[in-house]
Amino acid sequence: MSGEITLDMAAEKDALKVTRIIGKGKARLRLLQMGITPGTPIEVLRRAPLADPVEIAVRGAKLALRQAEAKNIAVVKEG
Amino acid sequence: MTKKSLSVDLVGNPNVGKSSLFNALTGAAQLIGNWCGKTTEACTTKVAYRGREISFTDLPGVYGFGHASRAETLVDKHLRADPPDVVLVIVDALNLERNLYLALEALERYGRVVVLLNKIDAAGEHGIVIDHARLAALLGIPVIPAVATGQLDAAALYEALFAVADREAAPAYTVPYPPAVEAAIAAAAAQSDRTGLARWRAVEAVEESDEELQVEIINARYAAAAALAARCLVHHPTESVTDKLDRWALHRIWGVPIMLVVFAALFYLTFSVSRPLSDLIGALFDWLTEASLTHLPAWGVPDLAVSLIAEGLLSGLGATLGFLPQIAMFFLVYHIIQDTGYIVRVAFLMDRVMTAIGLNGKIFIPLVAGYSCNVSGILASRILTSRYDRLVAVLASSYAPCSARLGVMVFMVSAFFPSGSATLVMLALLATSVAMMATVAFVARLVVTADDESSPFISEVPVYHLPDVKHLLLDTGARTLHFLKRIRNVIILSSIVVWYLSSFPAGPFENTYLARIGLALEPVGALFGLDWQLIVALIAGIPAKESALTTLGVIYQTTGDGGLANVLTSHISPLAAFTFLVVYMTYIPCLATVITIYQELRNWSVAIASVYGSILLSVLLGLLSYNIGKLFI
Ligand SMILES: Nc1nc2c(ncn2[C@@H]2O[C@H](COP(=O)(O)OP(=O)(O)OP(=O)(O)O)[C@@H](O)[C@H]2O)c(=O)[nH]1
Ligand SMILES: [Mg+2]
Repeated sequence: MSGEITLDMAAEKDALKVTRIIGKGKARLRLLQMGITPGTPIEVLRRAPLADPVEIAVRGAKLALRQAEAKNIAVVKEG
Repeated sequence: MTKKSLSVDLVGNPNVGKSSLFNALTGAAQLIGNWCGKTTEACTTKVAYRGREISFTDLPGVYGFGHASRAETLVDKHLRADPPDVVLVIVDALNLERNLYLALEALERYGRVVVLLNKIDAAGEHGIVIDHARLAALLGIPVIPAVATGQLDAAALYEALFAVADREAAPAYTVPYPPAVEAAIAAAAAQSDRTGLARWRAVEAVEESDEELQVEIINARYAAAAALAARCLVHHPTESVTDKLDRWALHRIWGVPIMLVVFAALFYLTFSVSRPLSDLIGALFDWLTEASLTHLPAWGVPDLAVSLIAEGLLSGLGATLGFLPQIAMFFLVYHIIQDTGYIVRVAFLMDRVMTAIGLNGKIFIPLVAGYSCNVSGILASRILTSRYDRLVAVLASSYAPCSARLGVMVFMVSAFFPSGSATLVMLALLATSVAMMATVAFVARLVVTADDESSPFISEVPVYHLPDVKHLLLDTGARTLHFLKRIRNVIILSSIVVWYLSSFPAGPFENTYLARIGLALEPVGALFGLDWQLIVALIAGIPAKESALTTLGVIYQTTGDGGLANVLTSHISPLAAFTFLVVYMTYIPCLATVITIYQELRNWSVAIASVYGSILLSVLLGLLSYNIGKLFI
């Protein structure tokens, strides 16, 4: 998909949309079950002092996750 | 058909208030806090209601039943092995959409479901209003709005639970799946030789066998949850207090300094508030000791019994109860840090630093819990799902000076150092404990290879929660009492044993059994500048750390006069006291901790290795502290 990046590269405050979850097994299921499914709007709120972990907003919830985990979330910029 | 007794399992996302509800209904004392993953095991308690009985089971928080975490495996296995009559899904009103996802999955699987819509108070503050009657109508099951931490209409809940349990299977909401999924479900159902494979089992089979369809299924459930939420929820978004606070608490530059100030302020408060109280208790017991020494013989109590009461029990109890205020204050502070949700911010700020030394940021939680009690630290290690992370958390959290040790440390530090430097000395000791945890993690990393599936960090960042004062005080009181109860027998027993060892054989104190043990070990102690009294105190601290102080109380009451703090300062140099504390902080955690290490890891060699490791570390640190200290004094 054109313009697809992974969430660890995304800029803060950009309006993004999930395209797919990379990876497999439990880690993948975890992200899906928490509502990070294809088509969901998602936003990076902030990064921690050493740029890792990141805080994101998805489906009205705020989640903290590592850059390594954010790498498994492919997104495109919306609009 | 009406059932006489009901089994009800509490199912819900992490941190939605399951344990709060469970405690409110059953009077249990499950761990509550504002972070995800506190409850790690199933816990069942029965409640009587109008001649019937309901047995509630509190479970760990989950996002689904698909075994994506240890908690999910546990919950799914529990539900399969022992299907409850009713599944009570706790839904967090602050996050209706994601919580409804789980409710829909539970409904698909278990049919007999009641939804408890929790935290409607906090939702209101965030401009969220939910039409629960409409939600109930759409789902076809009871939906009960509630505030688990406030006034709770338990009767309404019980009635709903019995109504759902008693009624014939009723048609409830079903998630519409896309045609491709429905086809696969039909195929899976047909494949099974047993006719009438339950629909949810077929759905599950499809989810497990096909990743593409799994995404479709999860997406369809979320679409359904979002549509339901949209029809029942009115939201007037406002900038919440949490957003405002987090702008500072999680600030890239100011977040860490703010955290340090918060911790320093809280610990300083603990000392400054508790010290006068400790002095008061100490004075009270001194007075009691004096009084029994003068009055009891006059009442005809034999000398030996007077000695046992005054010099054994009363001075032993006085020494221990003297640090009860510190412990109570520590529990208070601990409650505040974890119940406000600040602990999650700390994990967020610290994670990168922690991963640099091979730790998971979440390990901060067991480590901080370890400062309250090593046993709870070890139990809290269960939030780490990878075997390696758990091992490190279990081993490292026993190096956190627990409240018993902290109490002794605070007592000694405030006896030996003036107020200003006391805080610095305390911080130096705490820094040493952090360095030790890092060392343990480092060594563990050399010995154990990290398993490929390391713990995911992903977790929710909950909205801040202002601890309820009544609940805060009750919880602090309960924990302090629990602590007292736990140590009561040990303290009384060790007071008597130490009194016996220090009173017999009769004659000069140097002849007693205790003195002989200490004197035999004195050459070893000399390497650290520790006299035999301090060595005896260390030995007495092995079963329970707080006995060390009790022992010193007993030893010095028999050889000196005045309050324990004064007696100690006249016998021991500040450097020896500091070295004693370093050793004391590090050597063998209490017996209960060693046993818990075994229970959690099911491995005696690790438990025993950790004991030897801690002795080795304490000897090294003691030598270092004493010999470096000597250079400066
Ligand atoms: N405002 C408000 N807060 C609540 C309510 N119920 C629970 N809480 C708070 O929510 C937090 C989590 O409560 P717990 O009962 O520990 O949640 P849990 O679902 O058992 O959490 P885990 O065991 O970690 O899955 C605590 O800080 C509670 O004080 C409520 O009705 N209103
Ligand atoms: Mg719980």
